[in-house]
Amino acid sequence: MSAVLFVFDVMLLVGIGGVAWHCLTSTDLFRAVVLFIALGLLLSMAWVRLEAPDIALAEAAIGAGVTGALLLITLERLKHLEALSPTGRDPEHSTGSSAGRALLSGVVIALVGALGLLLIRALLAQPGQAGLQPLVDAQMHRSGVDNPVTGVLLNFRAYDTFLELAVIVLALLGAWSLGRHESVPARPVPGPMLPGILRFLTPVAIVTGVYLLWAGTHGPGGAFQAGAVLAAAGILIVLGRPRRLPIAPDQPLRLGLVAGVALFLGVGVHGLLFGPGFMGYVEPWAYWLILAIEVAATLSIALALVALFIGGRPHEEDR
Amino acid sequence: MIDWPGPVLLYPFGGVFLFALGLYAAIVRRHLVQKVLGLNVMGSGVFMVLLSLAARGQATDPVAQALTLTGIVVAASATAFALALAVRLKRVSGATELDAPAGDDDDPARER
Repeated sequence: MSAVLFVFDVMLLVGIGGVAWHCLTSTDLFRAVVLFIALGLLLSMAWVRLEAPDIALAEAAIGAGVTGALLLITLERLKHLEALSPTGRDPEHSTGSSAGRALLSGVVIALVGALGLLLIRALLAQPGQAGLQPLVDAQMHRSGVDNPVTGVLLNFRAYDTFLELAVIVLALLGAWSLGRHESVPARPVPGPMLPGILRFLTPVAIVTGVYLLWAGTHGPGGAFQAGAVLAAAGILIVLGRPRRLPIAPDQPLRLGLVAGVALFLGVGVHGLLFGPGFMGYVEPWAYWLILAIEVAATLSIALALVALFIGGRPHEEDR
Repeated sequence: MIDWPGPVLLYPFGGVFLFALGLYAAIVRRHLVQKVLGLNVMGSGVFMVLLSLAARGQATDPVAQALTLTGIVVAASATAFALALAVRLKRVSGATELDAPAGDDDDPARER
């Protein structure tokens, strides 16, 4: 059994390294992005081998899925802009002496190799301890949930998760500050396939998302995975009608986008006034508070990811 | 029969390889999308090191798992913003890379 696992680990790592290599050295951007998505799926298999199913779910949904969609739509946008105003420059054969490029490449390889060896040396010097796992185990009964990862995310290290939600809103604010949103540049949609698949997949994605949200308190899953799956449904709907984007009413959209951060902050301040301190929960309510925060966070994450995919702020604001 | 101690032994080195490869690509590749891909691969390498070190105990350390989950979401947000910046650059200047205009190739100020 262990020999089989050893062979599997080696093959998986060689696969990951090879796909990453081809992804980063490919001159064809589309091919690079497709390989990047494949890399995400291989990585999520590695996370399963490392007994981290929560991370595997998040990697598949966010790392491979949503990031892949963002990369693909960016390539379409760049191509669209290039067609509108050709610059005449071929990005693959841009100016500069080849000797200079080779020199730069050699220097960087030497630097990166030295850094890699240093990192390996540092890894070998790591003490072999179980880390914080016993501590978390000892306190789990106070967290209000059964999944240790959710317990750490939403209770023991709630402050990190709060700021993480804020980072998503910040990224969206940054993207919105760069321009108004526009129709997604899409190729002609062929035939009835896409609408049919949409009708079939959207309910499945919504049910899966809600299940992941509910499952997060006692098993692998949680707000981030659920938000990403719901966002995938939203992105599919956007892709289904690329020329006419669904215009969300402005005020509810903005409220939904900040709901996660706002509720989290509210609960945190409540903990400061009536509980154990900032970002702490009054113990008997911990489960319900965590559940409420997760629901709001799921909504915010899903909305923010779809809005990042569309890119640019809604039209009404500029009038 | 080999007594295989688990994936702990191999994966940290895979993580270091991914990190180094991503760093190389982020410096040497010129197209902005390729730089973003390189940064993402670097991030994946960091996650692999973190998780494989966390997997040494009885069960995988939940604190490291939570950190990695946070990292994945932050990486996705940063990627989205970086790609929005790349599209904006293309719209404003027509360029898809951060080159010095005259083609002096060894200009170290080119990055960032």
